[in-house]
Amino acid sequence: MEIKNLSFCYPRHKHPVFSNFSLQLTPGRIYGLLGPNGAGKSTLLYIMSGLLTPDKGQVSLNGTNVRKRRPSTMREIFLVPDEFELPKVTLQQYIKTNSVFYPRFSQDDMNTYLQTFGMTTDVQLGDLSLGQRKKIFMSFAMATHTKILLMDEPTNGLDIPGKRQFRTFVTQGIGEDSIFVISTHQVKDIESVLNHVLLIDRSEVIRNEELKAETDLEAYFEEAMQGKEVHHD
Amino acid sequence: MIDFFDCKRFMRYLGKLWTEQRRTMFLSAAILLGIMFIIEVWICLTAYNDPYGYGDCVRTADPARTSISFSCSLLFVASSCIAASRLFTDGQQKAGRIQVLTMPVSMFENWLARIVLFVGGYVLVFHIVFYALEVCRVVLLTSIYPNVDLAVQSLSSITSFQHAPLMNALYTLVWYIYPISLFVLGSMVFPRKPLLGTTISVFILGLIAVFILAFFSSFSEILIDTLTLWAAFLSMANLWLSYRRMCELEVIDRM
Amino acid sequence: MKTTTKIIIGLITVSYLLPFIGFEIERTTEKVFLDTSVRAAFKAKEAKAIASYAVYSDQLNTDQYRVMLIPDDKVGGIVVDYPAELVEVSLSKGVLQINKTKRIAELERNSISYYITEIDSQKDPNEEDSTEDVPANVTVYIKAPTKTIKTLLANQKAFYMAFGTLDLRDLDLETLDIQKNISLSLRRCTIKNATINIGPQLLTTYKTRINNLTLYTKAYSSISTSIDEQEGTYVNHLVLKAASDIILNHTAYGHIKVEKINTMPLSITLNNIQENAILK
Repeated sequence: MEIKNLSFCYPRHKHPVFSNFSLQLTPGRIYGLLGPNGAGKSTLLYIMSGLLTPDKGQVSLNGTNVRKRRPSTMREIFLVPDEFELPKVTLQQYIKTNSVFYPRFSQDDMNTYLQTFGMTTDVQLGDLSLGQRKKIFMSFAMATHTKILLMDEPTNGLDIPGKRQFRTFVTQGIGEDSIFVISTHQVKDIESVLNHVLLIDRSEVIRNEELKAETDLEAYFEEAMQGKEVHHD
Repeated sequence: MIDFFDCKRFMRYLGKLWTEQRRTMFLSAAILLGIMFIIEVWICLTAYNDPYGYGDCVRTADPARTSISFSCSLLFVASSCIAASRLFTDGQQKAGRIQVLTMPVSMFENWLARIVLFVGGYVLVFHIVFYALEVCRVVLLTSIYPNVDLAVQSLSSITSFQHAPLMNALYTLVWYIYPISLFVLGSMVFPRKPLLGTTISVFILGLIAVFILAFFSSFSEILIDTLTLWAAFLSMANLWLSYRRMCELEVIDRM
Repeated sequence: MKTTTKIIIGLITVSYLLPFIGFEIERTTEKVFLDTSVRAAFKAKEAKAIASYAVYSDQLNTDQYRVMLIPDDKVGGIVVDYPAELVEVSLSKGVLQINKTKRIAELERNSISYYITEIDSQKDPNEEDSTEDVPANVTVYIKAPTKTIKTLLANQKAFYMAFGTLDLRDLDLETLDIQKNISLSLRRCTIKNATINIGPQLLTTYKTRINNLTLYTKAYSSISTSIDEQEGTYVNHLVLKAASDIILNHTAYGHIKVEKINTMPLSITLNNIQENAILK
C-alpha cells in the first residue's frame, strides 16, 4: 500500500492534518501506528480505507486508488474503527450476509477466533456488551483474511483476558502477503505483537522502523516525541 | 471482476440490507396500515352518514370515492417521501457510515439496493395495503349499503391535466416521482438529518418558487407542460445526483 | 464544494429562471393575430346540407363561435357572410362546408399560437394590454330563404356542427328537432313542438315562444345541460327528460313535467316563483 504526496485538511480547520505526506507499507508486517493526540492517526486510517477524500495525493493498493472504493479494492481492506455498529441480527445471520463479500473468509477461522475470545455463534448482536461486540467484530475482521487490516484502538473496551486473546490472534493472523496496521494509545497492550513502528505527527514521519523485541514502547514513544509541539486543533 | 455492477453481488447486498432493515420495515408497514385504516374508517363514517341523499333508497354513486382517492394519494406522496428520506438510515452516524462505505460493493449497487428497498419496496407495500383495505371496505359495506355503487378506488391525480388519458397518467406519475426524488437526494445531501434537512430545504425553495410564479398572472397550458417536462428531467437528475453524492460521501459531512 | 453541490445549485438556478425564459420567449415571439372583422361572402344557389367542421375549443368558448341561420326571402339562394381569416366556406356535392382556413391549419401543424381578435386599427396589437386576452366572437351568418332553412332543420342529417352555437332567428316552425351536441340559441322564434337534445350544452332563448318543449338533460364531467330563459321566453308545456340537475326560471313555463331517464336522484331548481305554484 502506497501513500503518495498526501495532503488533507478538515473543513473549517486552519491547519492541514497532512501536507505532502508519503509512506509505503510492505506486506508481512504488523505496524503500530503511534503518535500524540491530533497527530492524524485515525485520519490516516480513514484515508487508507477510502473514507476520506485527500485534498491532494492518493493512497493506492496495488496501483488502484483506494478512494474510488472499488469492490475489488475494498474486499482487500478491512477497517476495525474505534466506534462501530453491528446490526440487530443474530451472529449467524451477520456472518451469512456479510461473509459473502470477502472471498477469503473462513468460517473455521471465525469459529477459532470466537473460541479464542470465549464467544459462540448463537448470540443476538443487539443484546451484547461493547466488549463482546468488539470481540465478535474483530473475529470477523480476522476471518476475512483481507490483505490490509486496519485497527483503530482495538483494545478499547476489551477486558484483560480479551487483550491477551487479541494479542494471540493478531500474531496468528498475520500472513506473508497481509499488512496489519494497529493505531493505539494503549501501547502496552500491543508492544509484544508489533514488528514495525510508524510514529507520525501530522505530516512528519518521526519513526518508521522495525521494532526490536522487548522494546518498551512507552519509553520509546516519549523519547521520540521529546521537544515536539502539542496540537490544539 | 466487474467493479461497477455484478448481479450476484447486488442481490447479496440487497439480501443483507433486507435482513438488517426488515424489522423496521415491518413496523413501518404496520404504522401505514394503521393510518390508512383510520383514514378509511373516518371517511366512511362521514360519507356514509346518508349515502342516499334524500332518503329514497335508489341506486347512488359512492360518496366516499373522491375523499378516499384524494386522501390516500396525499398520504402516498407524503409517506413515500418519508420512506425515501430513510434511504441512508444506517449511514447517519459515523460508526454506521464506516460500515456502509467500506462494504465491498460498488456505490452503484449500494445505491440501487437502497432505492429498490426503501423506495420501490415502500411503493409496493403501500399499494398492497391500500388495495387490501379497499377490497375489505367494498366487501364489508356492500352488504350494508346494497344500493351504493361501491368500487375499489385507485390513487388519483392530485391536479387535473387537460390531455389524453395516457398523457394525464404520465403527468401524474411525474408529479408523484418528483417529490420522492427530492427526498432521495436529500437523504444523501443531509445524511445526518435527512427528513428535517430536506423538508426545510424544500419548504424554502418552494416559497421562493411561489414568489417567482406570482409574477405570472395565469398558468398557460404551455407553462404547465414545460414545468412538467422540467420536473421529469429534474426527477431523473435528482436520482442520478443522489448516486453521485453517495460516491462522494465520506465519514465526515461536508458540502 | 463538492461537484454535486455545484450541480444542484445550478439546477435550482435554472429552475427559477425557467418561467422567465419561457415568458421572454413568448413575449418576443412574433404573434399571429387573426381579425374577425375581415369578412368575405360566399354565394350558393342551394345546399342540401350545412356542415361546420371548424373547432376552436382551445381559443374560444362555445358561445363565441356561432353559426347563425337567418331567414331572408329576398336573397336568391344561400349567402354566407364569414370571417375570412378564421374560416373558409365551400360547396361540395351540395353540402355547404365551413372549415378552418388553410393558414390556420398550417399554424396548428407548426404549433404556432394565434389569437382571434377584432383588431382596432388605432391600436398596436403588440401592446401588452391588448386584444389577445379577450378573443372576439367568430360568427358565420347564413342567409337563406325561410323554406330552405326549414327544410334543413327538418332533416337531422342535413345539419352538422362540430363546435359552437347554432343561432336560429326569426323562425316560425311547426316542429324543431335538434339532436346534436352543440349549444343552441333561439331568438324571436315561435315553435309549436320542439324536441331538444343537445347534451351538456346551453340552450338560450330570447323572445321565443314554444308550445311544447321536450328537453333532454345530461351531465358529463361536471358540466350539465342548462337553459337561459331570457326576456320574452315562454314555454307552455315543458317535459324534462332528465338525467341531470337543471335550474329553471319558473315564470317562463306554464307546465313543467319531469320524467327521469336514469336512476340517479336529481335536483330541479325553480327560480323566480312569483305566484302561487303547485309542486307535485
